Amino acid sequence: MQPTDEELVTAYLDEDDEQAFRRLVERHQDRIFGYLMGMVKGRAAANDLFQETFERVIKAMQGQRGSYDRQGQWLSWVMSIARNAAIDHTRKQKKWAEVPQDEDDGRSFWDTLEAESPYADEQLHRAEQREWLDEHIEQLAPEQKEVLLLRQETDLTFREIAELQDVSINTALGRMRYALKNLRKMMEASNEAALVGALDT
Amino acid sequence: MDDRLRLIRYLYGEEEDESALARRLSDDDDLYREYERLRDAKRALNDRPARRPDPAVVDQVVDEARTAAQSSAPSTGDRPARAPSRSWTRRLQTVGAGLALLLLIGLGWWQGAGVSDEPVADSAAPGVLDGEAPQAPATADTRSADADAIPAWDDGEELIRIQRRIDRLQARSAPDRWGSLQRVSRP
Repeated sequence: MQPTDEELVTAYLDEDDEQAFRRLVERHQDRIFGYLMGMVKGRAAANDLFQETFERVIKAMQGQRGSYDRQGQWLSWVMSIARNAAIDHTRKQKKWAEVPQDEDDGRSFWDTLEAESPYADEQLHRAEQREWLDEHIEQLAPEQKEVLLLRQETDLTFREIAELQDVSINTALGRMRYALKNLRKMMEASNEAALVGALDT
Repeated sequence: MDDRLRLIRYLYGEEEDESALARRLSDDDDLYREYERLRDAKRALNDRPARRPDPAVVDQVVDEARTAAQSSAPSTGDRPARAPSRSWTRRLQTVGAGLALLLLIGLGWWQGAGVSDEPVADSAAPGVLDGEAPQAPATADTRSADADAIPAWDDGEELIRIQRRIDRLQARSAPDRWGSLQRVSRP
């Protein structure tokens, strides 16, 4: 049986068990990183924010800055910290908006070569699909985008998202509804454009 | 709650009354069309591959967690000491102070007995008559040894109290008082 988040938190705090902390991070890394990738542009920036988030988390857990009151909602607590880190980052980016950003995705040339894999075609297709969807998500209104990322990537409930954003649950649900509807519209428009492009050539 | 919002909850497995919503969907074509559109968008999102941070970043995070845990260990004093160790320290201090007090009281009584022999050492003392060894030189040595035994570093209230008690005991066991008592009690 898998230990719960709280059991791992207790093992880390009371027994200095770093492996328990590693399990916590590895258990939730896709969720937290997926959210950060959606909120900021570029893998390198998301990696930095991921690290910054956990720096804040560790300090708060150790009581050095802020606090963690162990209410059994470790992930949603971490997500609130990740969200603040992402907002801080976005504000800084806006300040430097006039400076051209040429951010790479943190991968070397060799990392991009995946042709040796037997699933290379499938992976390439999924990566392209992911990129294509990310571009559409980026075009959503910020509040819709955030609810979509929080629900889809981090698996927080709508109630938890509502608490995080300090809105009613109906507002959170409404934002998600519009996000999905708009995404669907954009996908249709994009498919039509691709179809028209294919017919033209 | 609006049925269209309930659709969102249903898609993400949070709707409490799914059977009622299913009936609404079968009765309302517009609602069903909206459900299909939302479901398709969600499927596309579900098909996206998961993304994770670079392994080196996770390693760095775990390193930081270990460093933070070590630096905030109770021995360094950065993190507040845990309650059990605090209470044990207090208990040990109390027991230690109590033992020191008992020791000093015992020494005080013993000193008093030794001093009582001094004035009558030249004339026939009762202890000497009974064949006991004279205790005056030994008492002097012990007294200086006891003074050394008192921890010089301890300037707490407990020691001040003990010191006062010693003063009181010494005042009570002054040679003239013991001497006069013994003279009176001498046959």
